[in-house]
Amino acid sequence: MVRYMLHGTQSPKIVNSDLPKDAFDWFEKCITHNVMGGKMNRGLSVIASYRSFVSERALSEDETLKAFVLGWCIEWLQAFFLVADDIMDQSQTRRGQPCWYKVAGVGNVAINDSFLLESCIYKLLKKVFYYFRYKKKRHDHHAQYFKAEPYYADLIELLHETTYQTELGQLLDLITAPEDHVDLKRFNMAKYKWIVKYKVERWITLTVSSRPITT
Amino acid sequence: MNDFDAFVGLFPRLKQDILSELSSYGTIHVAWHTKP
Repeated sequence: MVRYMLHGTQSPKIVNSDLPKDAFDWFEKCITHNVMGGKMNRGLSVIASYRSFVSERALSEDETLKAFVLGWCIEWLQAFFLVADDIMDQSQTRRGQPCWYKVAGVGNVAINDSFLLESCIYKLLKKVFYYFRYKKKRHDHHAQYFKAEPYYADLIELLHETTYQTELGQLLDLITAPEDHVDLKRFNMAKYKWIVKYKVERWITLTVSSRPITT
Repeated sequence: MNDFDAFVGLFPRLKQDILSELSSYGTIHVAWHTKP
């Protein structure tokens, strides 16, 4: 809870406004455990596709950094899905280490952690695009309300649409091949193609199409 | 520096961006509501 004191006519001074240390440390550990450690093909595809779109010239420093940030947003989105997917599938390991929900003391808290990882994407976009536009300190409080970049809404929409489509693919995957009841009669080529299209293909579309939006 | 190293090297900075905001939430909240 935010608590503050007033000192005469001066601006309010914050007292004890930080997130409690145990929650802060938990979140930091969650990000480190789940976002890093993969092949990062999706994230690196953003810069590769950007270079292919503007092949006639070299990317500026800002353009390169923007592409990297978008790439990390996609890696963050993937982390969100993987944490949730591992719980649904009751998986044991991911990327050579225990799944997040299997880490001692985590358990079902991982469900909320997956939501937090998704929310980070939009925090990063808001902050970083503000920074690039105005070249001000990222922690300027106005950054919290920034929505002025012309393609900002398109990026948000693209990420939301990809999330929605991936979740539809996950739904079909879960009800077609539940972990505890394998029944191959539920499978057919049409369903297989639909799952592939929505769980995988849409990601490729995301990494490639995020570039033309920002150019 | 190649793309891979530069990309990986950006991660700690972005993570810090996320976490540092959590330390300043209260400041943002109060400043916004007391300075019309």
